[in-house]
Amino acid sequence: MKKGIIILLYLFLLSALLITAACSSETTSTPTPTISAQTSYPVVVTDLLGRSVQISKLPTRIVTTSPTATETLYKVGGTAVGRDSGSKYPPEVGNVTPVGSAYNINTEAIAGLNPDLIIIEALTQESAISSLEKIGVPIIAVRAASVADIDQSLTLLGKVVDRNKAAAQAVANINDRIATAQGNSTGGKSVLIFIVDQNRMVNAAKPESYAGAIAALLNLSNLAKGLPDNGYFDGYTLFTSEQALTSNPDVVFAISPAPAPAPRLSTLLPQMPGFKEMNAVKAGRVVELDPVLFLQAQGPRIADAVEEMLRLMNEVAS
Amino acid sequence: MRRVLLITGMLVIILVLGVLIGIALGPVKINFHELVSALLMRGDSTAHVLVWDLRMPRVAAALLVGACLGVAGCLLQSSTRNPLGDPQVFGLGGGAAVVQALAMAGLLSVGTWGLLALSVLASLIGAGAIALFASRQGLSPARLAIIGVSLAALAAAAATGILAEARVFSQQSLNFVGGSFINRGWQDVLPALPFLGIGILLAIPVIGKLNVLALGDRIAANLGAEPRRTRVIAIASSGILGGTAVAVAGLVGFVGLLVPHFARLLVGRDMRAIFIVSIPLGAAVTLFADQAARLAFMPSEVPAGLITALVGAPLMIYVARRVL
Amino acid sequence: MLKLQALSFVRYSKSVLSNVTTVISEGALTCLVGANGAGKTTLLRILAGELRATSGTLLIDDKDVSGVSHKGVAHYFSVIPQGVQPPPYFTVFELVALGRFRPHNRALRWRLSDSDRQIVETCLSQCGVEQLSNRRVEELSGGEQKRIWLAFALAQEKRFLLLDETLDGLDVFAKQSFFKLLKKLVSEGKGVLLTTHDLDLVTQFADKVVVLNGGSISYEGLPNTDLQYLLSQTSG
Repeated sequence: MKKGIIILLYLFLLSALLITAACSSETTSTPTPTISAQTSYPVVVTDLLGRSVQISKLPTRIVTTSPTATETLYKVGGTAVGRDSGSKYPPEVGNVTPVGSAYNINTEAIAGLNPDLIIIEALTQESAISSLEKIGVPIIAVRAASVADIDQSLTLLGKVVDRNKAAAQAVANINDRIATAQGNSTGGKSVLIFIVDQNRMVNAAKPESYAGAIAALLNLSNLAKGLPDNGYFDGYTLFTSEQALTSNPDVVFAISPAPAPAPRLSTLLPQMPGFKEMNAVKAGRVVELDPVLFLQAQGPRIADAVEEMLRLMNEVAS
Repeated sequence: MRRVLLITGMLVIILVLGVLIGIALGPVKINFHELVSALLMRGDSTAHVLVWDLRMPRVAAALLVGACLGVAGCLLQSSTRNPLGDPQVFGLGGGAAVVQALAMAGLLSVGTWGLLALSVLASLIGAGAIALFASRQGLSPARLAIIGVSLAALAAAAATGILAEARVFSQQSLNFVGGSFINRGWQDVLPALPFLGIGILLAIPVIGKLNVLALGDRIAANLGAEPRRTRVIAIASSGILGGTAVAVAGLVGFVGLLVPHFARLLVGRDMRAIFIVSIPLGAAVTLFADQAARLAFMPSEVPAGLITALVGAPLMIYVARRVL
Repeated sequence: MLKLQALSFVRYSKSVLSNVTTVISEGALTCLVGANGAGKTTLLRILAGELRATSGTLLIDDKDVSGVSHKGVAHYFSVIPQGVQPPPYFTVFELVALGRFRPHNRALRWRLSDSDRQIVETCLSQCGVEQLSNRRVEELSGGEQKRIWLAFALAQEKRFLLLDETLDGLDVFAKQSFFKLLKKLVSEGKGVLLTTHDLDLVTQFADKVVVLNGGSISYEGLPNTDLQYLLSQTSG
């Protein structure tokens, strides 16, 4: 049965290639995406993994496999026919068929939706490309590890779905809001951003992480800077109770990914040896960060995140 | 007898050494002078907090859990006549693991004392199941071990399921194992002490009879050793100790399995000797495993359960080959 | 002296023993023979107090012990069950020393008393295994192991020995010497009840033989009859 499907997919791929070859006598290949008012198909774009991908016509059946992909697509005005189960924003994606999760890509289910484009996340889903390629449709990788990434991803998808103007506006808007926030931020305060991994060890976000990058945008001094890259999450470092004893950020941020009724990390810190000695913890300057905004849904909402962090800083560090 | 005293004395010395390592060494360096003043005088310098609030409770937790597991292991092995007896292998810690998972998901909020009591209670359920099966005639050691492993797997599945359902960890792949002593404080250790005491005191009257149990239930009954009652008490005691250990540190494997065998190599086969020696031996093994976990990859840490597994698994294979 | 009067035992509506009446004396070697399933082990277990007879009486020294608890009755009997296995890692001395266990021993009491030690050594030499004292039981031959179990039973200093198929698996010579040993013990006053299939040796050594046939006694008395013939008369 499985063999049958693979054969079918290869035939599909073969026919798609043949059709593409037949239809394109002169291909306009633009190796670097430029912001133009309208996209003319077929078009070749470079995704965030540096791959050259050819889009033969306007994609109408797009499947996204990660919140980053989903939110970036919808930010430029595109829509999907399939998403991963973890994508929850914007609200209208609730009506989109979920196919697998971001950690467990279900190639068969995706194929079942008959997509003509798949958008994945570059950092965590690159290994899925070989499997998804069997479906025989273009795969584009976006990434949101930094503002530059987000800008590039928005522009890229804008080009792919012919929403270049919306993309440009989104990019401008995001950068504007960030600049404003940076202007309003007094900066100079030190922070640590904590999360607990599945071995119940505390991890701190380094500037290389998404949450750390947001703190860096606001000119906050991240005490996890320069520490080894040994955390459970990407860009995080393991933070032992002894390190906690000798660190004193002005503000501690806590990320608690588990929904209620699981206890919030901010309530657990005052009971943990070492961590409870931190001045910020003793004085109650511990703030919960929304795990969706700061960890799980990296992407165009970075502006929201920056503004949120600024607001919280002002509230607590006054 | 002399041998027991000698061995116990040596173990105590090793323990003291381990405790010193545990409080003197670590990512934050303190010099000898600071260490001494932290130990002898009151104060709230960094060194003081470091020693008393961070390192001491962690050392205490490791000692306590090690003692629990060592004793539980020897009680289980002798009462079920099974050389693979271990509170984790026999699923005695399973109930406690489920309780811990519920607590992590926030579905149980009963404070540390209540949590510990519940963990012990839940472990007694697993203990009851094992006691039931162990009393049946003609159940080979391998079969009893399989039953125990199934119970343990069932509990692990339940615990993992609870954690996954509550989305406690953002990663989908969960291994709810890796017992560890990271971030354990006095609030974890103190409620566990009475349970350690209860477990040990409960077992003391039956230790002598456990020697006789090795001869088989019929002969043991004929000698007046009340095999069924002795077995139930021994298994119940293991349940209490195993449950306490899991409540404090999670699933630290292989200690309960291997400590009795080492004890036997050190002091002979008499259960009374093994029982006494298992306490410091289990404590020492666990303490050193945790210290290795804490110090070997500074400033990173790994869970102590990983070290016990890495060292314990090959040893267990060796034991199993010789003994089964 | 053990008097069994009309002992019956029913299990799962099947009669395993019916109307067993006989006398087992101290200072005598009584052999219990019968086909497999005739009820020999059940009878031994009732005597040892593990099972309670459905009806009938058991008298020890003319005292009715039928209602006495297992513990009370165990006082009189040492049992060596069928197919007994030596526990791992025990030395011969340690195993026999366990025979000195008494329930009221304080749990962590340390040494064997001198008198206990003496008794153990006597039993070891009585059974001819004192030179194996420090060897591990599991490493010894079948014949040696049986003697060690016997020494263990002796060390309990009870009046009666109940041996269930203890000769199983021994070669002819070992069986002979085991029987001789039993006779020696019996001459010193022990009461021994042994179940066995070895009719020749029974004829040769037993003081009394009891033939069980489908749960009831078909012959009891001196072993001078043709036991083969008696046994072949099994009722289905």
